[in-house]
Amino acid sequence: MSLLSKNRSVVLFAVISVLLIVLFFIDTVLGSVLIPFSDVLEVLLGKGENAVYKTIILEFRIPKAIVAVLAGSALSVSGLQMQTVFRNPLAGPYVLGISSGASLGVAIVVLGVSASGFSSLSGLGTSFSLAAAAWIGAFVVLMVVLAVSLRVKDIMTILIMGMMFGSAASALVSVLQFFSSESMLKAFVIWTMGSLSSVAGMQLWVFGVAVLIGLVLSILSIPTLNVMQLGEGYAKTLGMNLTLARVMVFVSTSLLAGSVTAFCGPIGFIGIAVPHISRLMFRTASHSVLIPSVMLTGSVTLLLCDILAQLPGMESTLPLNSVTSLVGIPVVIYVVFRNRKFAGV
Amino acid sequence: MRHFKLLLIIILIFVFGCKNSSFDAKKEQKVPEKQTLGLDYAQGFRVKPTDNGYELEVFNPWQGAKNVNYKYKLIERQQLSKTDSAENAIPIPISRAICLSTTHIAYIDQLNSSATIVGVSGSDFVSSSAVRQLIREGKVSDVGYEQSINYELVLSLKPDVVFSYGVGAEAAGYLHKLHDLDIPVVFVGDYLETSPLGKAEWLKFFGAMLGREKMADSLFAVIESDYVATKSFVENCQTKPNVFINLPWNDTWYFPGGNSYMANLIRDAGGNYSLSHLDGNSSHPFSIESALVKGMEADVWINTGSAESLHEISSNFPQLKVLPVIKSGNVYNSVKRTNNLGGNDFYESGAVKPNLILKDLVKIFYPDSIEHELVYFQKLE
Repeated sequence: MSLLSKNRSVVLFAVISVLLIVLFFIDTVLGSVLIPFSDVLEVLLGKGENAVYKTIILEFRIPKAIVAVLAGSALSVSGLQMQTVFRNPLAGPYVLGISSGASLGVAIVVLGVSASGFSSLSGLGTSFSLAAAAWIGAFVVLMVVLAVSLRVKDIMTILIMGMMFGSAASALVSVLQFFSSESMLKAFVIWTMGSLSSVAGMQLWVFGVAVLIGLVLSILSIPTLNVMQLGEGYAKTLGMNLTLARVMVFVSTSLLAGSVTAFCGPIGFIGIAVPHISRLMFRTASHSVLIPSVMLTGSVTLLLCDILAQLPGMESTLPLNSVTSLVGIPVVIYVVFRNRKFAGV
Repeated sequence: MRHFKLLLIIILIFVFGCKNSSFDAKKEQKVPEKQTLGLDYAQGFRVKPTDNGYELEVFNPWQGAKNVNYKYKLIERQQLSKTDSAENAIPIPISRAICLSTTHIAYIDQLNSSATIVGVSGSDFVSSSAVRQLIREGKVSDVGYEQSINYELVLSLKPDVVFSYGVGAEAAGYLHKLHDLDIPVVFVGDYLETSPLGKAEWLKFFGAMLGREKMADSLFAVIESDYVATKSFVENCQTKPNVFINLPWNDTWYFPGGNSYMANLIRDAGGNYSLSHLDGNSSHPFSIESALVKGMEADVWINTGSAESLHEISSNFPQLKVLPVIKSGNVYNSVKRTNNLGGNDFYESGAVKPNLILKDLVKIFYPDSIEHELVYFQKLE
């Protein structure tokens, strides 16, 4: 049985890895501007002479595909960690209130700046200041959650606190929205729709490093996550330092979800759905399998969503967040109903 | 097959061509010219003289409105007896007005009537120096925005009329509330005019309101002749520059339609708007990739949103560095007359002075053609 499941895992990993490479390539080839396949190859081999094609492939599509891979892994891993720590299948990367904190940071920059009389930033959705503001917002929420988690023993209290902080941040965002002008509202709303292509150049490096640190932390947390999913009482009897374990998981989750929110906006759904898809595919609860599998599956899912959002061949695009939801929801419903354990609940 | 397509196109042109002309004819029949104030460009309103004032009609005052019209009775103040208080009656000349958009301020200001203004929406964004002075003196109050309008303040200002920009009827709860408070609200659809002169012609609308019809007529005549002269000056230029416009929001680039206000200004200034094939007046979303392809041919780039320097553009959108227009530096933004609080006079007095905007654009498109110092536009450094 064990051997069988091991073989199964190896095959699945191989299939998903191949899929990842294929989708990465498709995401580079397809886009709203139709570029002949031969030209794409030429540019990729460094031989292309068409400056527009070069810019589109090397400065738009490849960075975007890299961001999709990083953001997909980041969201899925942080979602898995939250589901494990809170032992709640509906938990996701944002339950700690991180995205709300990030939204508040962005809202203060986009909507609040005009009120305070500084020059307006509206329209410059990709500016580094937005990412910085989102990060600060996420970081502040993380600090509060950590402070609470050091004092509170019951994990459910932290879940509730996180949700309350999130609601408070959303309420403040609403106040800012209420008092802002149309163009600023638009800048903010467009940010909330999510986008993978705003990350370019220097920002891509910062984003990449932040996500990689988060992923390394989560890999280091694999043993503690395996114990934590059995319940905190059990973990304690094993003599585990619960506080340290929590801090590590929370920092990793904030780094992952916070960076994605900062650079790409609050991308929904992926973080909740991908861990379920992985669990059902790999039929395991072991995080040494689950963590790498959600990384791959998350990247594949977000790449697929991005390809669809680009509406290949059309001049316009769809908002990424709508695609992640529309693509993902049927998948999750299907997966949930096929699984007896979930359907029976 | 090809012939069939051609035939179809010809038929379509005929059908639509005929429809348009018959529609125009009908409109002319309905509005006997003698009775109306001569309007040559504006589509959004009509002023008809009556025994004791004017009847004012405003058509489709918001984006996408169809077959919507509002009628207002402007009645000379002396003749407005108490029994005669018909619905929508507005005493003219108005002496106390609230302006919910800064363009309204521009029209009133041009007619030397800024003392009429008692309230504005968003006082920080006002550019008119006369009205700024009144705000400092406390003679003009800020009544707030849309849903957050301060009704008590509006009531206490005792306005004869509130000038509002049109919004969809469903979203217009705050306007209903003003109506319930017996404050006449007049929709001003100037921002929907696609013809720059049509937008300026709303001067006549405010002229009727303020009892300054003659002044409005003569002001407009000057603007019109200046505009037409500038336009005809560049009409026969052979090599027209390709003009690119706006700045992306995240990864989406919104372009105005080929018959929009900006597109018409570019055309009249002898420019070749890169996306003139887009229909209508609404804005069209493009992915940043496809926008880049269109932008490669651009000779001039105008209206770069909030970006005020080339460095700002290339640091926020490093991918746009490939555009030849960035290298040549022919990038201009209409922010020269922005005040330190963020109000931009391009959207205020610019509405009434399309002749100056046109001259700016001609100077940008053909630098050696005319002697003119840029008023609203400035080159990005």
